[in-house]
Amino acid sequence: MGGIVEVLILGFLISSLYALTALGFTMIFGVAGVLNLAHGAFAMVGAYLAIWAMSAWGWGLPAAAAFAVLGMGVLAPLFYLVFVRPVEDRPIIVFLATLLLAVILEQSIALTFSFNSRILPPLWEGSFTLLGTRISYNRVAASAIVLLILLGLWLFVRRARLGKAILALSMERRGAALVGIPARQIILGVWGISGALAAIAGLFIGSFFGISPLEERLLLVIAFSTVVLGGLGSIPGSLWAAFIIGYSETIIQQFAPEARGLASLAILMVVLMLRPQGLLGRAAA
Amino acid sequence: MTEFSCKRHSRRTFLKYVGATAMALSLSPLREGPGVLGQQPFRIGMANPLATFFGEAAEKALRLGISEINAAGGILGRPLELIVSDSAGRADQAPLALQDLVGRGAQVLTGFFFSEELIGSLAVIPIVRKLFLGTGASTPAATIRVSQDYDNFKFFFRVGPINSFLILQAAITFAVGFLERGLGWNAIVVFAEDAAWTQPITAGFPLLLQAAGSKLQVADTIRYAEDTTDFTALFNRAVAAMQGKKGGIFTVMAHTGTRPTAQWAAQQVPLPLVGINVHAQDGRFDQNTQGAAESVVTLTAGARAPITERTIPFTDAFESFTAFKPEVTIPSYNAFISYDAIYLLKAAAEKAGVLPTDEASTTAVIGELEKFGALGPDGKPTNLFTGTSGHLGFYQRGEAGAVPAPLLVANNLPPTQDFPHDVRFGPGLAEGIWIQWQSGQPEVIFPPNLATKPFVLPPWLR
Amino acid sequence: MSRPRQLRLPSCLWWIGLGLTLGLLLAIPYLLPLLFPDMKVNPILLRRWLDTLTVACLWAILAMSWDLLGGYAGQISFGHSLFFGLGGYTSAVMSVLFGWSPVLIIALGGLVAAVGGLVVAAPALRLHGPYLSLMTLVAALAFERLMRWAKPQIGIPGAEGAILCIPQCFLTFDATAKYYYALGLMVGMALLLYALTRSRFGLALEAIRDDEEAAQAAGLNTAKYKTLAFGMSAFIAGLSGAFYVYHIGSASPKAVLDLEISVQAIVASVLGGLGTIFGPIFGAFFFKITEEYLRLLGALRFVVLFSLALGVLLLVPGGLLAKLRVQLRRGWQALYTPAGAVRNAQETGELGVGRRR
Repeated sequence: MGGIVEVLILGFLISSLYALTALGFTMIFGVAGVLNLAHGAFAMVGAYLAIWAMSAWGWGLPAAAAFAVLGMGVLAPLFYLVFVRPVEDRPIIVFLATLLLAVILEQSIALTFSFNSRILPPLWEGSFTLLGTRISYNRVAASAIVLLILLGLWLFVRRARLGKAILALSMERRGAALVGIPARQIILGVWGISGALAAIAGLFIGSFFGISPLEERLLLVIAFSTVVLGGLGSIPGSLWAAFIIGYSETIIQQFAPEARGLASLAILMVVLMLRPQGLLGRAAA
Repeated sequence: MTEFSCKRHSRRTFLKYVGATAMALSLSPLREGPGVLGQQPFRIGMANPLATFFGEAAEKALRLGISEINAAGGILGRPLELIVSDSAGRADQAPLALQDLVGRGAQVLTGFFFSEELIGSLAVIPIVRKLFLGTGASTPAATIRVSQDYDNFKFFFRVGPINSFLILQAAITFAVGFLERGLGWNAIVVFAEDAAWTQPITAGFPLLLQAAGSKLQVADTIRYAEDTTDFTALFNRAVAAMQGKKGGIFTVMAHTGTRPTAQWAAQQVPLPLVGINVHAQDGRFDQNTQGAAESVVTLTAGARAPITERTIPFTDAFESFTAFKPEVTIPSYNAFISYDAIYLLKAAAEKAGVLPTDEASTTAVIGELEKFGALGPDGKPTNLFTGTSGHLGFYQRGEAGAVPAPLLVANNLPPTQDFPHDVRFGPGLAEGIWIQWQSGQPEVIFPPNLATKPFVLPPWLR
Repeated sequence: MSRPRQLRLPSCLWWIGLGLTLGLLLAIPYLLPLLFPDMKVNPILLRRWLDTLTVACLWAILAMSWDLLGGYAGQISFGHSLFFGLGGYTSAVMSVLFGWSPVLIIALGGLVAAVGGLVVAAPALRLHGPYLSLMTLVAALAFERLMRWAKPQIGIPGAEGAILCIPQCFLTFDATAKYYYALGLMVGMALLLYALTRSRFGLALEAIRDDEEAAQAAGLNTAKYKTLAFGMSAFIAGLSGAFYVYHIGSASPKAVLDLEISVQAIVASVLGGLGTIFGPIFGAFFFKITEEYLRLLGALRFVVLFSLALGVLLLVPGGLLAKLRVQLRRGWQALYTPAGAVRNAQETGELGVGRRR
């Protein structure tokens, strides 16, 4: 019993963080048709921006976090303008440019901060016990905040003008252009939102589990897997996939902690073979 | 046991890099000549992952040692000069780094933090044929090669740390001598990352504890994947296994470390965290973990303690040596060893009367190095070299018993396997030093004769 | 040469250029000491560069194999480290266990990798675009994790997760000979791939890349050709991995299965020029030589290296080789055609750049 409660609670946070990481990735793909392989690096750099603000300027956590989210919100569109837009019509070059950008960001951060993991302080210290499982307040706070963000994003896409435009653009590019949606500006905006979401995910991962420059690769694999498993460009699909991957990892860790990474990859492969278009994707991408 | 570690650059070092880049790009590396003989400086080459804290600290220690030796007239009247090359933590880069150094005129080589690098370099040690003083990686495979093919691998000596088979011995000594007899623990949970080097330790711990006549019980053994993000469930499992027992978590981790330590502190796990934690050997561990390091214990090869009469003068000199990386103030374990390596070279060269410049003189110096720690008639090692990391001597060719036979057999080795040129492990020799982080400083808690502070519990258990 | 009108397709010039390049590569062990007299005094200096070139040859083979799948067939694989590693692990295991001749073992490494390629091809047939890339990535990651988890205990014990096969997987102490072996393998593979891509097989792959459904509608058995492409590409990548283990003397997840290997293969292919077979050789040599040259930057090396690669990618998105061809052609035309004809010839010439039509 205690084991089940533990899995339910532990899996929730990691799954929602995976969802947060994947959302920005899927938005860029949906709207701009770009697989941004630097997405994991954006999350990692976001966390390090906060670490930097705290150690260099002595800022508190809230200010540093805001700085990181805004910083990535500005940096991501900048990277897009410099490295992606000039080669936008060549998918393979875009793909490789973002990959190289990721490696460069990873190496630069490692040079400045070391390859070692860093920790951001928790939002809320201490813990309580529920049905024999110790749960930290930080975890509750983090899960709540992530849920709020996911909810806000959903409302934004469904209700706000910009959100609707993004949705329209991701469904049918030409049609969106016909009804007068300014694709170029919106793409820039989506890169900003995606960068900011990545930074938030990076901050939580940094505060919860610790972050290192090489973590970028793992985050990218997670985002990539989640998005493909859910069906490219499908936001609800990504959410489902995030929870499937997060929970399968948590359950496996409960029984065989040494095989954790291997098992989730195996699950991913099986699903991909059974449903090549992802869970909620339209057939033939 | 290998790990990347801390690194920080000030604006000044950044500018220095930019300058160096501009300089370097204007020079062809192909044009650098070998050191011309004569009163030219004698070149020592260091190959290490330069983008890590451990690479920086080792370089600083070597620069310190060389500046001291040069100020006192060099070795046999010749001044020393350090050249460095990046081995990048990769098996294919390490041999290129060695060839780069020798190509630039290095006559003696030191370095390699990662076992991956040392293993990769085994392909070129027989080719470069220069004295190689290992100062970081602990893979026993290197000295097994010395045993198997002496003529080609005699150039390699491991000045430290003790090889990874011996780490289990050090761990047992600590568990019995300190955790059981000192703190009165009756159980531990072995908490190991799932890597090849931890296998002999998790497999051998219960057996060797029993063999040592200890009542200390291994309540559970948890092996976790290196990419584990959330340790909560694993800590809960450890706490459940320790229900009603007195003890703590015994860590065996190198690639992971910061992450579990930080989560352990954030969740206030009600068990002390002791053991082998390579990240905790980094002088900035406390800062990297936002203070979660408090009370964490790890095995290391050197610390600011009277290990020998040279240790404390070295740590003080290291801190006040500002000619290189002034921001690195606490020497890493491989910094102690690198500093020892350079003085060991001096001692051996002066005894041999030559500097190792060609194969004949190198062989002469190797002969002198082999005499450090040679067994006396009573079977005890004699002629030890007093370094900062202990009294150093090397195991000899054909000397069985360095590692307990059952452990060797479990690793597909003959029970009489020798480890020539590996640094001797034992009390008074290179013995494991156990440090505990207390108020942001690493303090020695074991062995008792070197202890600078008594053991403390984590703040939430005090 | 007497009829300048035909010079817009200087294919003979192209072959002469390739022949000269090959001659240069063959002469390098003798040329370098002439250019840099230090190397005669200190042979290690020469060795370092020969070893670098040996690895460059192996990387070129890997990049060419990626190009067959990515550049020709349009199947962007993220997991070439899987095939490289399969070859590498086969070398390490077989040399320790059986000690057969290196030729046999390296060939076997290629075969094992080819089997791996066919296994990956089965699900890959149903996948397209990013789904395929992810599947290959996951396959490579899964094999890497599997090796980390399994920790095969073969070779000299205590190598901390690596299979150390130093006395068994050994070619020669002679760096020049080793370089020639690698060069020979590279030239052989380049010719094989060149012939393949000029055959019906190559045409079929290009048809699949440009429009798979149309190719299928035209009666092409796309499944067969894609499977073959996977098998062939994996075989060649496996050969380079198997040889690589004979170069470094050990196989470990970090050394032969790291994702960075796939990244470097892609970088080399794209930098050199996609779908050109010879382009990736240029890319691999450019990348590996720059990497070694930048050693003198110390810690800053990899940031500079990858920034350079990104810069080249953005400035010359068509690939270095294509650029070089254009430049060569321009120089040729400036020399041999009347000034007025230059622009005309240039335009027609540039259209065919980078990809065979």
